[in-house]
Amino acid sequence: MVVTLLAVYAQILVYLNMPIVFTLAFLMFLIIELPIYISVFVGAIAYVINKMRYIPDANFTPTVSCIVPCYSEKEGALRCVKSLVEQNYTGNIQIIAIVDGSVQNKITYDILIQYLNSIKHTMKSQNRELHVIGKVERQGRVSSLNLGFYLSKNEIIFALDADNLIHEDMIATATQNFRDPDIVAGTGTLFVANQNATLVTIMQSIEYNVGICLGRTGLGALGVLNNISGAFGIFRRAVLAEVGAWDAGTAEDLDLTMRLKKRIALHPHEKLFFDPLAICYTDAPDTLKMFLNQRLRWNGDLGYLYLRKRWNLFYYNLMGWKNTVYTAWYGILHQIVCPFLIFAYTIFFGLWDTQRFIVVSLAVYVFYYILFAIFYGLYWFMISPRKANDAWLFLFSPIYPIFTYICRLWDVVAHLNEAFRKGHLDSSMAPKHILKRGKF
Amino acid sequence: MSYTYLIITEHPISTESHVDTTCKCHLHKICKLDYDAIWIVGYDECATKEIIRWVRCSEMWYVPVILSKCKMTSHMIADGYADSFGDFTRIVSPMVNQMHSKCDIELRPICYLSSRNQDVLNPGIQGDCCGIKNKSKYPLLDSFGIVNQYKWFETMISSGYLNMNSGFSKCYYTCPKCYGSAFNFAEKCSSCSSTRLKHGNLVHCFVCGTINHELLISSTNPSCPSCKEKWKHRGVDYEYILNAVECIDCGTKTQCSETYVECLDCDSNLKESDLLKHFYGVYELTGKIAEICGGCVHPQPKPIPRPIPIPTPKPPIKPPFVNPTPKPQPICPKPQPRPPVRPIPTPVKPPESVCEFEKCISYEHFEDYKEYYKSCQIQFMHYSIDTADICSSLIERALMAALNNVGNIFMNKGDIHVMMIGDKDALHLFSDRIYRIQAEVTSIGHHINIELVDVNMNLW
Repeated sequence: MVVTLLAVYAQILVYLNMPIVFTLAFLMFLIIELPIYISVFVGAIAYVINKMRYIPDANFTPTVSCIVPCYSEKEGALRCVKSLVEQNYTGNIQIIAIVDGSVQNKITYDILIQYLNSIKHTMKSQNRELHVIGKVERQGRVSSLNLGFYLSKNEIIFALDADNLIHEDMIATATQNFRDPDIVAGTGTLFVANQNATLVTIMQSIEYNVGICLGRTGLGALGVLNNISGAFGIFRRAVLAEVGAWDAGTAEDLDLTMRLKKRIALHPHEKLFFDPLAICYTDAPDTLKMFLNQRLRWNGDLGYLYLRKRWNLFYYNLMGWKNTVYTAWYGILHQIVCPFLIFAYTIFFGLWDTQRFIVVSLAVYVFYYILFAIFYGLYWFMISPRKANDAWLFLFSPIYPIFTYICRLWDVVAHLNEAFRKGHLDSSMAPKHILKRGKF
Repeated sequence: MSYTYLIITEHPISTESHVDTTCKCHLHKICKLDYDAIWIVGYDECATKEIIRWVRCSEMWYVPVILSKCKMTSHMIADGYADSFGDFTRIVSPMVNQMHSKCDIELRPICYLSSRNQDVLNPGIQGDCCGIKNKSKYPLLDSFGIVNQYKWFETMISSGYLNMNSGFSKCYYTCPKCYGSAFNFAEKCSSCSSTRLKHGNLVHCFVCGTINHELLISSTNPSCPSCKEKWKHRGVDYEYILNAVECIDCGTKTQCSETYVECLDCDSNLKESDLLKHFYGVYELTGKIAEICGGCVHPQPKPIPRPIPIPTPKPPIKPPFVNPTPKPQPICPKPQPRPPVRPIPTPVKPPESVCEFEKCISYEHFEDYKEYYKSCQIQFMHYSIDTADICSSLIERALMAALNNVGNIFMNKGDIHVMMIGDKDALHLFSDRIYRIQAEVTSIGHHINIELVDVNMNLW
């Protein structure tokens, strides 16, 4: 299918008599992106085949500690903690909710304390432990996560965002992956909780389905998981202690993933996993401004981490061949270089010949839409745990390539912001004086 | 008109025809319960309190009780102090016959205060007394055998007999099982209940973001144990983040440990939230009590107790003979002797057997029996302890109906001691039940001592 599309695309270029330079530039996208798409496709198929042989063991119930760094989520934090307490899991769950800056976020702290008091007497019988920790002074998300890790005692550590809504079977599903002693960490699916709020949230929902659920399923199956999400990370406690838990600064999730990959290079039998059936729902930004601000931070942090903080890890002896090549390809080429190429292509071709630009843009749109439809179909058919909802989302799919195109252009702004303004120091994840004291 | 007095002393010698003497050990043998006043001579504070309690829980609850020497708290439950028999008669003569004996058990303390011309009920300071923890904040109520004083106050306030004074007020906590208020507070691990806990600050390194215990950090040359970065300034390089508690046994770390409370009276392990919170302060008597015993309030002020302790009287005490002063004209009728046992209300008859009794409790006739038992003036006093469970599961379950209505319970340390005072018919009715309980308690390794005292025929 992809080859056919390429052939059609080549015919269009010949027909339009496109200058060779732009043809090459456009082909660059395919060279960078196509291997990733193919690897996701192959990985997803491999996952489905493996899943067919998978038999869950209900007696496997390791003890679990869930770290929930809270800030100003108020009722959202309560919703998250409640959904953890009410999990369908017979093993012990220790929930550590840490309110960063419990003085300024007194409402959140009080809500959690009130809930703790209400369930205090029934918690032990349900095999649950809830600790609400108030950090009087705000010191950032990393300090909350590390504090939670310090206070935790159980075998498996879950790092969750306070605005998450956890599916009732999430812990039972996710812990099954740790039956394999070689599994050291992993993550699960994040769906958008406020999906139907605005068009922006609908687009993000589609993106989460394809980008996180399908994409990470494929990459995880091939052993090259790109990132263990900060909003939903699952770790074996001993391994997390060995790698030193979360490091100061922003993009702490990606940083930890890279350090875990470094560890895996030294212990090749160890693996990361992605479980699409371990589900969390999270609130996505519902306005374009908020969304762009979020992506400014996320995508800017990629440059900060890959090119500033952990550039020395891009060496096959440190991360292993597979992960070095894949991280360089996906992390640097696809996520940092590619947006600049798209931006350059858009500017130069648009200024050079607007009429042809429009025609070619349409061709590109059709090409990407068909490619997206193929992958969305793959996701829906093989992985989607909520088929009716995802089928309804497909109605909005014609807008999705345009949304992606805008995001790619915005990535350029994010990378430039990071390169020239050190955007990672201007994050809401921690106070500025703490971010500045970091090494990078 | 002559008065009859009872002198309770360690070496009883009767000197006058109108004066009986006895000792504490033989109190239960007293069958005549219509003395005009009682003088307690020579006992220590603990024993004095016990004697006063016996008096206040008996048919003579209203009579003046005079002590031979001043004690810290006994003055709150006695009517005065006398060094000699002359003093005694002088003090009690204006009081006798002013008292009113007909009153509900619950209202007796208020009637008592009212008859002594007092309009407030004051709390007192109570301490350990002969190994028996005194749980009462109100010695007077304690002497009247009001065990659940919290409930008593609620009832009295809701009935309009008492009002809480807005001035002095304090709160205290009691054990929900034994109402004791002597506790040991200690911390324990919320996971393994170990008390071996380690406290300490956690330090956040701003450079690498790790959290470490302060013990790992050198105080002279502080640096991060993880990234080895040297720290110069607190708040710039590092910060104390939290005071944490770590269990040495199981390694559980948390922000605050669980505080548990050990009741020193009944050895129960409790949580702080389990403790009962009570308020105590000065309660004022409302005018409502006058409706019941209004005419009995004698106009003379209560003799002020002398605060200076008097040396221990030399036993045996020989009370000097004093001619009784002419009795003043009583304002209220003379206390009536204990009313005769009322016949069982018809058509319901007292049950013949235990089973029948239980059946009666379970069904509609219980109210009739309750009235009957009330009329018999049965008083149950069981001294129990070391397991409150025994009290609740065996004794209380069996005697609940009667206890709630006509009896008073005292819970003290030691073996279970049940003292039943009543008329013969009533005692006979309950004796089967009591002996069955005795067998049950003995079978689980506890000793129960039961005394059945017939008010008419002495020890039964």
